Amino acid sequence: MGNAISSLWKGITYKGGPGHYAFILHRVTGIGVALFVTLHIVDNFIVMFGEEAFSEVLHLYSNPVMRLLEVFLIFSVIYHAFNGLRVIIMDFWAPSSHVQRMLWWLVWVIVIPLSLIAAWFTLAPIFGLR
Amino acid sequence: MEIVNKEYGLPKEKFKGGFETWAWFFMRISGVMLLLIAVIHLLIMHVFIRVENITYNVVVDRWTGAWGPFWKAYDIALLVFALMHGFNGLRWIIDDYIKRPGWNAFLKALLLVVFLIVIGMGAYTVIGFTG
Repeated sequence: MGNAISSLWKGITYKGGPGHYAFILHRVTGIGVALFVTLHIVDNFIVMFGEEAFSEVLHLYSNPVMRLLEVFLIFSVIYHAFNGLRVIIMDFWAPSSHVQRMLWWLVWVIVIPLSLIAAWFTLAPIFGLR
Repeated sequence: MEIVNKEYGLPKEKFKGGFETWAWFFMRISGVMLLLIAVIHLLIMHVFIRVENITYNVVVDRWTGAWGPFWKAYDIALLVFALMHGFNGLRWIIDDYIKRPGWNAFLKALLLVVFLIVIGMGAYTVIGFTG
């Protein structure tokens, strides 16, 4: 256990700059999405028990805390998708450090607006907007 | 002057295959596929339909309506690719941080069991749902 914590700690405190932050966030969002997908398959399974049981499950997702987690989920999927694309580009096409830095910013130029739009669609109903 | 990092990119040796190489390759292929099918799924469910409007009847229409077979195939593809991609990622994380052989093997065995149960539940739901 101490081993696992020390190797995790080394992974977090390593000073690798933007590429390292990208890596940490890729893992955190990846774990988050994998856990949600697992939960989502289990909740969807309840549909087999009929309308009443499934409505109760859907009701759980309507509370404001879940809506906030929904925004985090959407951000995670978008970030993981576009950062993953950046990783693939670097894997197959050994770019210069200049291009790598540009790709890192490009990921955020795509992820931030898309996440904000998703946040608006998700959170507006809670505040009675839209 | 541009500094090209020679350490990056595919190794120059010939492609030899093997489970781990295929797993690495699978993550790239499924990643690009999921960029399309998972993002479209989110767009439909969270923006076009919106989560607060989803009811039992929405599921009935989606899986048993005129486009039912299409959406069932779509959801099976999403289920299989998302789970394989996600659980392989978790397996890599276990390999990175859990070095003790016993724990490493135990956690990966547990991960495989959860994977099989969840993919079974998902496939049973998508294929078996009749409304």
